[in-house]
Order: sequence, then structure tokens, then C-alpha cells
Amino acid sequence: MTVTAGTLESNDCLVTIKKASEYKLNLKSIVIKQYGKHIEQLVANWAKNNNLVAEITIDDKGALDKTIIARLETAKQRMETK
Amino acid sequence: MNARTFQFIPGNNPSMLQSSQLLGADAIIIDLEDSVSIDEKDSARKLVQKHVEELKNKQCMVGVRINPTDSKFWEDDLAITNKLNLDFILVPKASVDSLKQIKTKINKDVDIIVLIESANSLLDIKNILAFDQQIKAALFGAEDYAADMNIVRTSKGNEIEWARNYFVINCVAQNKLAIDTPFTDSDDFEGLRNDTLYVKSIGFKSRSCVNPRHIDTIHEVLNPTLEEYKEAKEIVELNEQFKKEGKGVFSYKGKMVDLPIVKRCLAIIDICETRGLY
Repeated sequence: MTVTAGTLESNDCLVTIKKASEYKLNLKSIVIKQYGKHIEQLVANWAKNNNLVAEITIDDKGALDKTIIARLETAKQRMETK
Repeated sequence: MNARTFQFIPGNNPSMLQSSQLLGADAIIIDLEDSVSIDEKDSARKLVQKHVEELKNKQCMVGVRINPTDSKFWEDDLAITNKLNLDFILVPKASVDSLKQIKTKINKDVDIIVLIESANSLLDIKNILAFDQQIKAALFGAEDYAADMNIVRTSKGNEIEWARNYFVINCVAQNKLAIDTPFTDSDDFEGLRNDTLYVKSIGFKSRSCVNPRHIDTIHEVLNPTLEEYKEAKEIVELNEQFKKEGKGVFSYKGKMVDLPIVKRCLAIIDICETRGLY
């Protein structure tokens, strides 16, 4: 099962969560050099805190942390209600 | 409640949410209704929650327009907004019945602004405004009103002249802030200025906008002038002197000044000084 949240608009990100047997992050970002590691850590911490084992794909267009988290939480909620 | 401009911000747009505090409006209305598609209501709610939770050093008033009570979204909207430090909630399609429902779920500490956007709600505005003390202002939604009336909106606004006057008279009568409808022609600044001058002349002190480029023009028109500020200060000082002599009425430049005039002067001084205009 795969769910998405967010958009590819400027300052947003498109998050896709797919059920998987282990955690994996596929990150594409317009600021990957400057913030790649930070986003990887942010998402990993979020997944751990939410007990989520899944394959997460993020196409980031310069989203702030709070936007990334908001989109992740929306995707997770959509997965739970599907 | 005292704000000259209310800028609408689409709730599912991170870029606009991020910059909303820098636009210069006196208030922002983060929108969960018309600017958010049905499939993205949950997404917008979460995004708004995260952005407002982390808001520090607010530069303006912050409110949210929830979905109307004839939708399936309004209760989830309020479940989120009740947890946030908001200055107001804007209730669309306001009616006495919808407000009764809202009151069962809304945080008691937040101000309510009612959106009057149909023929029925305009005619019942007196009862709507009087419904509860939590209601501090009303916003006139001319586009939806025009759709309800099946009339065409124009930049001149003749078709909503009576409605605007009826709206603002009722707001003033109940001491609620009257907020006018947005001017929808983005590039017509002369039209915006003239339209705002007109609504100011009939009693409006505030206007909503969908285009942030309109904020400065609206402020310029709605701000008291320096002459009005100076005159207001003179009248208030004179009033203090005459009060000590036991006089409640006096003459200023050939005109009678009594308590309502003094109150209007105090409001002018308050607007100018809290905004640091002069």
C-alpha cells in the first residue's frame, strides 16, 4: 500500500510512504548538499518516534522542517485510514 | 478587535504560510475552506497546525477560516484550532443555526468573526451579531453574496451598495468591527483606492484582501491623516479641561463637541499611536 501527501510546489515536499519490512529513505532535494543529512536525520527520528517501518520517498522543494513533518504525519494518517 | 487589513492565506500552501507574517497585514486569515480542495483538507489542517504551533513573536493577529457547518470538515477543523494560540476563528456561511453548532465545539477564549455571504444572512445580520459575546466582527463576502443574488460583480460595486451600507450600519450599531469584502482586481490600484475611500466614507474601518499587494494602499486610505490625529488630540485635551469645569459639551472650530465625538477622537489616537503612524 502506498500513500502520498504534499506537493512539488516551492517550499513544499511530496512524501510517499510505502509499507515495507524495513525502514528506507529515498531523498531527492533541491538543497541536498546543504540540508541532505539534516533531512535524513529528521525523517529517521520521526519514523522511530512514530514506530513506523516503511519505505519513505521525499521529493523536497525546499520545505522547512515543520512542513516535512506535517506532510509525513498526513501521509501516515492516510495510511492508517485506508 | 482593531485591524485595518485581513489577508487571506491558503492553508495548504507552505510558501505563503511561511511569509504570511511579513506581508504587513494587521491580521491573517489562514484558510481551510475555499482555497483547499476536498481531498486535501486533512493535509491543510496538519500543515496549519505545525506552522501555527511554531509561530513565535507574532507580527499580526492570526486566525483560521474553518469549513462551514454544512460540511463534514468543521468539527475536525475546530479540534485542531482549539489547540492553537489563535486570535480568532472566521465562521463561513454564518447563521444563528450554524453558530449554535459552532458554540458547542469552539474554544471559549477565541474571538469569532462571522462571514456574511448570502441574502438570508445579510437580512438576519442583527440576530447573528447579537447571538454571542464571542462574536467581535463580521466580514462581508460580496462574491458569494452576488452568486446567491445571481448578480454580476463589478469593480464599481453599485450592485452591492445597499448591502454594504446595511452591513456596516448593523455592525456599528452592535459595536462589532465591520470588515469589507476583498477588491478582486489585482492590478487596478486606482480602483482599489477609490473603492476603499468609498467604504471608509460609509463607516468601514477594515478590509479583507486576497492580494498582499493591496495591503499598503488599504492602510494609506484607512489610516487617519496627520491632521485628523492632531485635531483628535486637541479635542481630547480640551475635553479634559472642560470636564474639570463641569462642562460635557463645548465648541471646537465652530462645531459642537460632545461625548460621541470625543470617543471617536480617542479611537483615532489609539489607532495612530498603537500603529506608530505619526
